[in-house]
Amino acid sequence: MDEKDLNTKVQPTWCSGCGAYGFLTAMKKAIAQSNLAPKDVVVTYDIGCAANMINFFNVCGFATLHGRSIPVAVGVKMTNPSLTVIAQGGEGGIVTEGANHLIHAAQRNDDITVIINNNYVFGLTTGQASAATPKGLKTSSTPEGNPFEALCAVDLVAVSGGTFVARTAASEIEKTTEIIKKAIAHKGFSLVEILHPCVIWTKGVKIPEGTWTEKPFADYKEFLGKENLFGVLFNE
Amino acid sequence: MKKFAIKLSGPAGTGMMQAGETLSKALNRLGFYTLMYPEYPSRIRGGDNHIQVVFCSEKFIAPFEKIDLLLALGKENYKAHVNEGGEGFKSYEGGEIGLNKIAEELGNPLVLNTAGLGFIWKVLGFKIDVLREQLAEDFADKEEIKALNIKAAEKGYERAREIREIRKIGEIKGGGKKITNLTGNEALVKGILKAECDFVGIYPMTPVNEILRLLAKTKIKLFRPEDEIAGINAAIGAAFAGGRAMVATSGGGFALMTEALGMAGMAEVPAVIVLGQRTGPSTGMATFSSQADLNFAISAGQGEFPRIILAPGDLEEAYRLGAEAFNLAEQYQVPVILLTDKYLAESRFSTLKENFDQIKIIIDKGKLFKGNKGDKGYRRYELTADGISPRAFPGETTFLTNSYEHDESGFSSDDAENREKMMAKRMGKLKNLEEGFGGFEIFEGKKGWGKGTTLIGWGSTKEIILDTLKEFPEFNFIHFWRLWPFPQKAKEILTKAKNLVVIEGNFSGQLADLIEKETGLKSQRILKDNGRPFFKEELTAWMKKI
Repeated sequence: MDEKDLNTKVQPTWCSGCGAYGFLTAMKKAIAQSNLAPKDVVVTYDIGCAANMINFFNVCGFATLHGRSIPVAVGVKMTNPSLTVIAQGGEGGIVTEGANHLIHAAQRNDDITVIINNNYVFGLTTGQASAATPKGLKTSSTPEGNPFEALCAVDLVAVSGGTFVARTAASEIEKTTEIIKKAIAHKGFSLVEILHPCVIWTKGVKIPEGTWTEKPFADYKEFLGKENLFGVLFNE
Repeated sequence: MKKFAIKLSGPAGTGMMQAGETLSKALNRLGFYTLMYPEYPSRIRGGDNHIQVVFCSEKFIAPFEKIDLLLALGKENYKAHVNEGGEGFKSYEGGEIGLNKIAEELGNPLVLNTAGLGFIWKVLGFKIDVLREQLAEDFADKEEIKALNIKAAEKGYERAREIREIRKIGEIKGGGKKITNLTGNEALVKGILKAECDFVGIYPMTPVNEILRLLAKTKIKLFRPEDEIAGINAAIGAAFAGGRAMVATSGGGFALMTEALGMAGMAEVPAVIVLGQRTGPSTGMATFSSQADLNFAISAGQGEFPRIILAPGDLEEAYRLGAEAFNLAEQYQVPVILLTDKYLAESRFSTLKENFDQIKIIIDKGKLFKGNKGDKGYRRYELTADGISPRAFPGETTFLTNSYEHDESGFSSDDAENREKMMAKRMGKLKNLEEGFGGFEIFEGKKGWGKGTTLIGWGSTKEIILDTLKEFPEFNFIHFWRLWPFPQKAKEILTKAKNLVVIEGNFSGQLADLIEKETGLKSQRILKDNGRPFFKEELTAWMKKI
């Protein structure tokens, strides 16, 4: 199939330079290269900047509630296991509001793919700190700097029982495409964290100068706490 | 025949529920109608679980304040209830009548309850065979335990003979009636299975745990979620994917589900929600009953969206509405809330088997996608004359489902004109519900409608009011089993009635308020909000005052 079949009539409304453009491109490539028909792919979207993708991506999309894209995806997959089911959201929705669902879906090893667009901040609501905002960062809700360590989705999923864990950067379209393809093909719970600092609210945040892993680690303990590691970190 | 009320009491863990069930079903075998009403505190062992079993040759039985016979296992339990006796009251404490000794002889303390049943059975003057048959059925799959329990019952029975405690109730002549005995939850589950439900998301909570336990034994896909939020969101996902999906919870869980309830309304995804009311607010009295979530069910969620609220009042309604809820949810693509309560959910009721069996359920999934037509393709929210757009499922075609306001194709939209069209579409969807689908049942008094007092109730008060009315045949009674949308036909009927008296289990009179809002009619209110159902004596006293 052609990537163009995954376009809709609606032009993306993201800010100029937003990492979500790269993410959307990678998603289209991944679905097309996996040879999946749009009618057989379900994406349950969170609420937030990246989740606006429901309007720009021609698959069976379901814009759910803030924090709840994962349980909706679980219900879809349990009812029709032949579908490819992806739950998407920002770190505000998935690591903050709905972190409970992330942990439990990983624990159950539900056969869905969770994609987190981590821009380190609540973007649409004008830049408040989320659970994944780096410590010390000044945001509209932390004028003196964020006092908390960032909650790391990759670590959370790994220790909870998720069987596929990957981290990538939206700017790396080819690598992200390959990772999403692998995540979709994985049987069991898969997580892909995609880093792209917000061009408006967290443009000062630099994605760590990372190392791309050649192959997944055998034991998740080897990558816990190492936020500079990229690629498929775990694939059980 | 007059009713006869028995109370069984013992610490949690002594099998009071099982004993009450066996006793009720054995009485049904003799042709009696029964009511079993349990009260228990929120604990696993100890304390005082007590079960009221009332039997009568006539249908419709209310629970009673005054009992005719008490069997308590334990002195503390005996003390707790010995003052509840009416005229001719007999009371027994298990140790004193030698039940503990029987259990010792049989080498198993767990048969105390069954020994007690044998004792009571003899006191009532019934033949042991029937109780034996019932025990054989109850323990059919456990040969050893079956034999042990039958032995215990026989010994208890002999014990009553020895001490000559016999009180002949008299068997029903003609018998032969086949009586179905179920809890409200069990009847509801029968409806759920009849409707071919595919997906259930239940986080445990009293009083709906029985639903989870029973459905776990079936082929239905069961999701025990991390919380009620996940439960309903997963159910919505399941319905979006083409399944018939439901959740069950109580008020606290429903509060967590509120946001997703609105999503089902906005995204037009069918959802069935069993809301088993218990005493609130907050944690309230967790194992006690209530009818105080009507306003909550009607208004839960931000913004405005259509919903249907049903409130079964007896076994037949629990079964029928338990199944019809799925049809309605799919036909109208709305959330359907089934309002039950602890009293209906966990009490055991009885009805003629033939009445129950003759309820016909036809599965109707509503308008469905029949293939793409022309260039425009499928539009999930296509504007139609009745406001209902055919549903498609992933795997059939590509489409969007959206909790944001959306256009006909499902794309998010803030457009003013589109918003007005879509609100009119959604809010107009239920107009056809009034055609053919009822919402209430009328029991006309001797003098006819419009003459004398008209009692009004909803949900689980149905049988209690009908029992009380046996002594007030001139009263009219209207029982609501659909609360929302408020049945339009009921407006005309209520306008013709006189002296309206609403009876409900809440503090403020929520149905009375709803009727006033819908019709302008004011009514007298008989309210009870202490966790217990209306007892026959107190309702009778109220009736006399009217």
